Amino acid sequence: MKKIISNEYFLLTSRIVLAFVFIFSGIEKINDLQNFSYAITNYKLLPVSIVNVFAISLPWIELIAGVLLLFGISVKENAAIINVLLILFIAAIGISVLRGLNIDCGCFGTAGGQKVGFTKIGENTLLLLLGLQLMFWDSKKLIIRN
Amino acid sequence: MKLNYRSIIYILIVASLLGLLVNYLDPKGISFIRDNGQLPNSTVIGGVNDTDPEPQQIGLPQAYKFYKEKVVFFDAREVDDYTEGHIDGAINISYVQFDEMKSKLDAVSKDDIVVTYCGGDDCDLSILLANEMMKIGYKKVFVFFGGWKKWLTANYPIIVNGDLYNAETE
Repeated sequence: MKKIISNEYFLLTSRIVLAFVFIFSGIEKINDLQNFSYAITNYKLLPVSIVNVFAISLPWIELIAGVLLLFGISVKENAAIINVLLILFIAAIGISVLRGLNIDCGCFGTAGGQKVGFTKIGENTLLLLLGLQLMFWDSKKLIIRN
Repeated sequence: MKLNYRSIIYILIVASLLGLLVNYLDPKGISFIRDNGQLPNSTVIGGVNDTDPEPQQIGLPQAYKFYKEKVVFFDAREVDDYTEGHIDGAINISYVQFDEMKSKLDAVSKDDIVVTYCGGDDCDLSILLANEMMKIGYKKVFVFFGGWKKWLTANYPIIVNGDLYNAETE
């Protein structure tokens, strides 16, 4: 089992998948910050005054971490950043589901208008597994040497 | 597993600064600190500014004037909040359940003046609801900033748990 998980091609695939998901979601949010800011507000987890700071920086963290991951720069560190984000997302969505909120998740900007729910938690958990795999085993295939 | 925490911190700082910079330079960028007064201030005291297609912001005095003129108020908060207490006569269309609740709008003409409100002046459900209503054809939508909180402190007529309080004595 450990052998499969640490297989370098499996690690490379995980890295590319995770990288593209985060690059895409970062760009979608950057394209429409106003709506992303509304989406965060609707979670009612942050004070309104700091929502925008969050909305401005979060997509760029996603984008940069995704790009660095794609090129294989500091894979473990970027995977760690992404894991923390994923845990935050899962917690935020989980709390909203428990509170019975029927809101747009803001996951990929406004694309698709996906709602919060158990499907979203499932998707994020799968991504988190990929992130954990990369954080523990690194991925040294096709990287830019620094 | 050994992580280089310094690079994590660098990545976070660089990404955040980049975001702030790009947002600052972008003409469509959003303000750093969210202010709630994003809507143009209403010029109505006597009439309605028909030329302005945006929902307009009104304060307590104008809202109360509308109330006395029997203008329909829409409560954009969630059903629980509405049931707990709302402005007398207000209809609940929770923004988060807009699609399910919008049939309540059938009874209200699209040419009527309508007012939306939410919890206070730090919520934007009222603005979001107003935008939705504009989209489906309402022309005279006003957002009552201050909302429920302000109305409550002014001791204007309210319904709490089904009972009317502070009734008009005219």
